[in-house]
Amino acid sequence: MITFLSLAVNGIMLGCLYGMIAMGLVLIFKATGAFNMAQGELVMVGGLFFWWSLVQVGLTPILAIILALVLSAVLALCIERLAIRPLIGESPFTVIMMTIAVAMILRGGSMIVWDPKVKFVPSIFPEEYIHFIGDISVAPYLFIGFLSSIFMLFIFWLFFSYTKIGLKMRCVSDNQVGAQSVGIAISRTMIAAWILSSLVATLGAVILVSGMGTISVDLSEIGMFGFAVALLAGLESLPGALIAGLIIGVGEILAKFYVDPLVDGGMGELFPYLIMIIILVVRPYGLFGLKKIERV
Amino acid sequence: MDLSVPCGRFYINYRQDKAIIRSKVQWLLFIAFIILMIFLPALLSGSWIGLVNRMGISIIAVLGLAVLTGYTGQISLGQSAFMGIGAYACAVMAGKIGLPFWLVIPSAGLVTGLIGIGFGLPAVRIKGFYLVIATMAAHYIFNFAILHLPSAWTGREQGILVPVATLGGMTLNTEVKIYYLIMFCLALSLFFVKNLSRTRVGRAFVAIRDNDLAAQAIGVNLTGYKVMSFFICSFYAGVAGALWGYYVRLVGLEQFQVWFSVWFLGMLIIGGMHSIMGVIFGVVFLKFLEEMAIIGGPFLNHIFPEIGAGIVFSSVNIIYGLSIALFLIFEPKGIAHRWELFKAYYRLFPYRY
Repeated sequence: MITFLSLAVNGIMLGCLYGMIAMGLVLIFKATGAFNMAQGELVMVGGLFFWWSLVQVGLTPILAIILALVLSAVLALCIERLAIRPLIGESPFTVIMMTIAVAMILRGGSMIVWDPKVKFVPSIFPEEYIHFIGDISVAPYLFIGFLSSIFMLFIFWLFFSYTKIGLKMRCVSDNQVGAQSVGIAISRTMIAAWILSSLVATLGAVILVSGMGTISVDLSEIGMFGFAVALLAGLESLPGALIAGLIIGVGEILAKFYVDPLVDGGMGELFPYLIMIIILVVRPYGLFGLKKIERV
Repeated sequence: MDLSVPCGRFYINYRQDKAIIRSKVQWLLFIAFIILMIFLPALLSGSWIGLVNRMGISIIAVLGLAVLTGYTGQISLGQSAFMGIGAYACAVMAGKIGLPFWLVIPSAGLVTGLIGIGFGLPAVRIKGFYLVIATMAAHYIFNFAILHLPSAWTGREQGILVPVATLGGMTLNTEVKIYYLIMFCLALSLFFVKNLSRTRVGRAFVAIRDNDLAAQAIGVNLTGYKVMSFFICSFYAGVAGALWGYYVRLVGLEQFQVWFSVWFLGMLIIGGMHSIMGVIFGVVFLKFLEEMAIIGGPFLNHIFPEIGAGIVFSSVNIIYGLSIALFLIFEPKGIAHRWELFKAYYRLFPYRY
């Protein structure tokens, strides 16, 4: 029982990190109506920025995080400006393909700039495990990820409900042409969405990377989990992304512990997709997405 | 205005109007091209024939994708996994059961097609990026299955050997010999896809692509045709995979990564996804660039010594990514569209229109 609880708590916290990555996807989707296939690469590059400023440049952890955030904001600005902006008004398929192209360039580019070897990242969090009631122990980075994802959710809720740019972003996601005709500058909301999404990705990467202690180009695989979480949630809801993240995180950890020994490993990686496909067949718009009614 | 026929040529029935080869010059060019392809191995050295072989296999796989994405408008990022299924099916059928290759290739296609239907069923309900991710999941399921099925079937991490294809007393064990097998399958595939677009089924696919609700309203069976489209797409992937199996003769998991599916989609976009010529252009263009990266690999390695063997993979990724991005911005209709423009320009040459 205590093992189960401990696994579940760890799963919840890991799920929050997934939720955070999925939030970046939901943000871009809400603001631009496009699905960002390069989210995993944004996480990976964010992590590499952090590693670079912490280890190569030799900054203190706080400064390294700030530098990584600034760099990733600049990167997002460049991506939006050079790749996404020329495609305003094109079909979603074109934009998806463009984000895939961006993902390929980021992946290849970061292999050339920072070689593809696995790099070690010194931990910036305390080493001891945090203990809760009884013997439930949690790695500190997971706990910090949990707290910061809740915090980010709160910030985004404030942002979308009370700030002008947040409201504009919601308008644009609802109807691009309509928003444009009432005088909302789409380009600005798109830049804001990309930068915010890149910042969330980098923050998630910082927590993940310093918790795991290593970083390589393969970190971008986490984007795949992010996709599964975002689709499970339904792409429209930020809190939904967090909840779906919890489901996937708990599911993954439990599957890893209970199912893996039965099938000789590998179930933990597969499990998120199985959940996602089953949910998509039953509810194609996800758990919390809006059901779109189409008429000819 | 249809500029695809020279002026002064009039048709008196639909049969002539819809024919693939419509004039004597086209017949001449067509026969010259066939003769060129037959004698190509005599003109090119072995490694270039190898490149042509890999292009041929990719064209078959991308043709399937063209039916699914170009005609029916469903996106799939699982083509490489389906190709893998075909390759493993080929290895099992040829190696364990000992069937001849002319039976293995279609049955590998059939097996893959049936599995593809399984992934196509969610497509009936989901669209767009939901479908992208659902088909991407095919890769994870494929990986899991290969690593967990009995190792006598799949060879797990070691990979599995495919016996040499034999026809009569001849063994197809060199690049040149397998070239004719690949080109034969390619010609059949091209012929079939080209004709598919001119049938009831092909028109139903296009109707679904343009507006699925309207297609349903005029009586197109959405479920049936979407599933059929997935079947054809995976069938082609399976055939390409089986040929790949006979070509490399050691099938391994690392040959079928999610990135290769993305590359297939990139080839389709760069070539122009609504035409058969586009598929050929896209594959030839990108495969050629990829080959340049592989040839230039040692040179690049010299400039960036610390990257090591990853340089080819990373530079190929950058090349593909950049080409896709540039084509999406500047020529979303692909190379095929430029080719049509060029043909029109050539016909009208002294005049602008």
